[in-house]
Amino acid sequence: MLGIIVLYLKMEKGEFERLLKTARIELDEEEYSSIEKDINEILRFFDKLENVSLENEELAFHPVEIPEKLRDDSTENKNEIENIFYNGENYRFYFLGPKI
Amino acid sequence: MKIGLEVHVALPTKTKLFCSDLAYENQEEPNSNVCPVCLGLPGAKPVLNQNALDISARIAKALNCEINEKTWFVRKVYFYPDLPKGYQITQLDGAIGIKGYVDLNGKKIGIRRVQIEEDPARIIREKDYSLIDFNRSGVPLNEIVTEPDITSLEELKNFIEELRSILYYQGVNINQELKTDLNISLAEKRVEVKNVTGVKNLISAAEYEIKRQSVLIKEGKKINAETRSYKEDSNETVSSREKETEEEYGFTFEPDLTFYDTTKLTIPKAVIASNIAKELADKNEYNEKTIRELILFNRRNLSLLTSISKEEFKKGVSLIEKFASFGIEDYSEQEFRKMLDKDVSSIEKEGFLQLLGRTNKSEKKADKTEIEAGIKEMLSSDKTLFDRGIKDEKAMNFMIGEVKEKYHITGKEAADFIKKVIKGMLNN
Amino acid sequence: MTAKFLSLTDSEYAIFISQLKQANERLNAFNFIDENKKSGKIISVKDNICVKGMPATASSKILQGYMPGFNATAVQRLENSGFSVIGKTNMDEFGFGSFGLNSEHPAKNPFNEEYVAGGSSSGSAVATALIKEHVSIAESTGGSISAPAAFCGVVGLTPTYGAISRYGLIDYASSLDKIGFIGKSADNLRDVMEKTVGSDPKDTTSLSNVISNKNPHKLYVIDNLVENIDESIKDRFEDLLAKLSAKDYEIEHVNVDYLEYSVPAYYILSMSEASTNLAKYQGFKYGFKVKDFSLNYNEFFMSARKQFGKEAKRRVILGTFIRSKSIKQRYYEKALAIRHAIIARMKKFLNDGFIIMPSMPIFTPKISEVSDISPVEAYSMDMLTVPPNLCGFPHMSFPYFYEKGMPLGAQIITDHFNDYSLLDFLSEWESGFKYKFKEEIG
Repeated sequence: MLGIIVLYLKMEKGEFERLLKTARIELDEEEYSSIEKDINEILRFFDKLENVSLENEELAFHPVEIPEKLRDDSTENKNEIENIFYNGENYRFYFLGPKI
Repeated sequence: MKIGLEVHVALPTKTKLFCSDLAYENQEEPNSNVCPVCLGLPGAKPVLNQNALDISARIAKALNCEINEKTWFVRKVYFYPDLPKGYQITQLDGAIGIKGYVDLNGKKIGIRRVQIEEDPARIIREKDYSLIDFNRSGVPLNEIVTEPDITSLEELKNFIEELRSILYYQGVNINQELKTDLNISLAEKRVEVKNVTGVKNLISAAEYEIKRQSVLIKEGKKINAETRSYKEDSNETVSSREKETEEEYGFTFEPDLTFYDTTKLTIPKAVIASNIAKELADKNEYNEKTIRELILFNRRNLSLLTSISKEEFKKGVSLIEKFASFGIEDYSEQEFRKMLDKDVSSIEKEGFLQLLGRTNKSEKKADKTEIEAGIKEMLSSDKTLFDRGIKDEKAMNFMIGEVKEKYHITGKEAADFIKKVIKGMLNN
Repeated sequence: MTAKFLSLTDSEYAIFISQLKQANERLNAFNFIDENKKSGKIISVKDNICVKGMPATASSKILQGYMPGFNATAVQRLENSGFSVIGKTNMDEFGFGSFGLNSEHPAKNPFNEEYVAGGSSSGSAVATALIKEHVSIAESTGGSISAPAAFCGVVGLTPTYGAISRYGLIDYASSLDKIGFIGKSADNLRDVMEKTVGSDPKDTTSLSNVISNKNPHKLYVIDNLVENIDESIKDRFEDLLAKLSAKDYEIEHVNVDYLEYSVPAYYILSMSEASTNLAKYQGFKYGFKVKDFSLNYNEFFMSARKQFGKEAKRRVILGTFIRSKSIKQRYYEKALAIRHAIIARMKKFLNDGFIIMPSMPIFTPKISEVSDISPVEAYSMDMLTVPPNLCGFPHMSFPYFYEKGMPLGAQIITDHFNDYSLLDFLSEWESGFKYKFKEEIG
């Protein structure tokens, strides 16, 4: 019988860089070193779950059962909003966005 | 050769997938059919459109899919200015349909998945910025993912035609430009051509890739597994930097929605026109190809040809062709029946119309006073149009377009006349 | 007893506002105070809940300047019932924090300004302590109502997940976020609860279940949870149990499996969801604006997202990692299974009793004591508030003792949709308890 091997995840530098890119987060030097350190500490904390074996347990996507709720295909209960351009720059009815 | 497709098709609903804004009507003015949900504003929540679920189940069934008893949604995270929430609500393991196929004359092209998802916004590239219209954001789509079972260009064409016909009989607007991702590999490595718009471009892109990859193989060079994009102007595919990989999308369950029970949906038997063509050809001993052409994308033709007897069949086909050749589209089944009893083989249009009992109304052109009245009505019914028309050229062009369409008029002279009338009214 | 809320005449209003603004300069309870005259019963709203025409920032710089054009359903329902929103309360950025310190101007404890107010609904607790007859609409994801309520000596009611619509709530973690209330009387809390609960066509996860009040007379104490807390807190809690036992409550000590995993499971789920919910902040449609549209969109988004505070960045990065395809099973799916396992095990006891525990494992800390602790140390402070939050069980923190002038809170948990029993319990408790406040205005 093989014993349970617990592998602690440590995030490598390349992985950390990749995550920053994926999440579109840029860090200054101070943030970079402290968050990198925190993350490894937090991952060790999460790795506590390695000890749990709950193989046939259902997954609780919500804490209570959410029955389905569907809308009729009609405009009757349109969500109200005032002044959609109030918060963003616009030009001739279009929102202005960054260059693509 | 292996070809697999991801075909995106807009569903025939009235409103959007997760909110009550119009999906297709009144879209001329950008951002006129938007709300907190499809703008992705903080605090907004999605609520699923029942009709989009029903239609998707019917499409999945028509593609011979197993319908997941419970269907659910996931968030696919990626960053692009047309994606208001920073994630697209789509489906994966919980997709409405899985493990289906399309039958191409005995060969089955596997359908891996039919998934329900929301369309991003429309984005216009400008030199130093982009312009975004969220009217399209949240329009309900099905993404139809095939297995890589297509093995020739011919088969690709046949598959697309068959798929479009099946979708047509599910009420899908068949004039829309299908957006397709094309996976194509002649050797080991898979090349993906993303976001090809329209069937014509899809075929060209596949043609180009087949040539390109063949040449590489012949020259003993290696084919890179990569994402490419199709350039319509030069009719070629070029390497593009992949935006996000599967790993990075980080799919997770969409917790703002729940599980949807599909067992209580009633899904009528799908109409597969190509099968019906085969049956009609057998039954009536008639050329299958002709029947296919008549019924693949025409509900009425299908209904007429399935309702007539073997004796009448040949005549029926000619009559349908006759109607078409005279440009008469709005005929009823009764009118068809009436004409079926008559000999119209060598008749001209006028005589045909007389037999039909329709007098030849010449199309009356709208006169200038009528147009002026129409413009006045348009301006008085839409205050914002009036306000913006004064300083906004786009609004002006929009109005000119509207009027031209309404009164079936063309040409620059007419446009100038309309512009003059509108300007005159705005200045009053 | 009936509900009683502060309402002001025109002449009183200006005085009230000036007193409120003065107090706010010391305590930072509000991110925004609306000086326009209000005719209705005064309430305040946490700054991650949209009120039409008032800024909504969730204490984040990335939402600076955002003015929603619509009301949250909870706000709309209360306005329809004659309530008026006086302002938006301070909080940890997006709800990320247990002490209220992840805000540009952290709220301070109304009993002593050197101490934390608790978080993330810091300002709602402070405003409630400060304003006469007040109720604040707050929100809890992992303990954001209980923690500040306990530290500020007020009552924090976190309803069953889905009991109140989340439409208009700026998401932190959608499967965990719950709108709730902070107040200081059972009658007031019952009144606002009754007016906001119920299914909302705009929120799929809002429920139409009837909220009941089956009042058990049994109190379960979960020993394996309470054993790890501050010894003196334990002593005070024993005193509370003695008092309740004298009121005819039967006390039973039990153990609940898997609870030691609830905090990591909670943070795994909440960070995963948060990292998707925060993907929408991109710097052009609302809130903070990157002025230079000619930047390539990726640089543009990066530049905008610098506005996130450190804790938000940490959670977005970690959440993105946890969602990665190759390790999703290791963390995310495990956490979902743990949630399921804990719900079943807690339900067994909630079936015929309340579960009771202190709200926080420590006495109210000084700001200086917790401003430099590590994230894992900070997350561990949520050990008591996380289990009911992870499982969507309705729970309530209520003040039960004053130690050297500072309040102590206990937390009582009941079964899904039995929320009103918490308020029945509170009514009974209030009959023998006197709330203390340093100052009250209005």
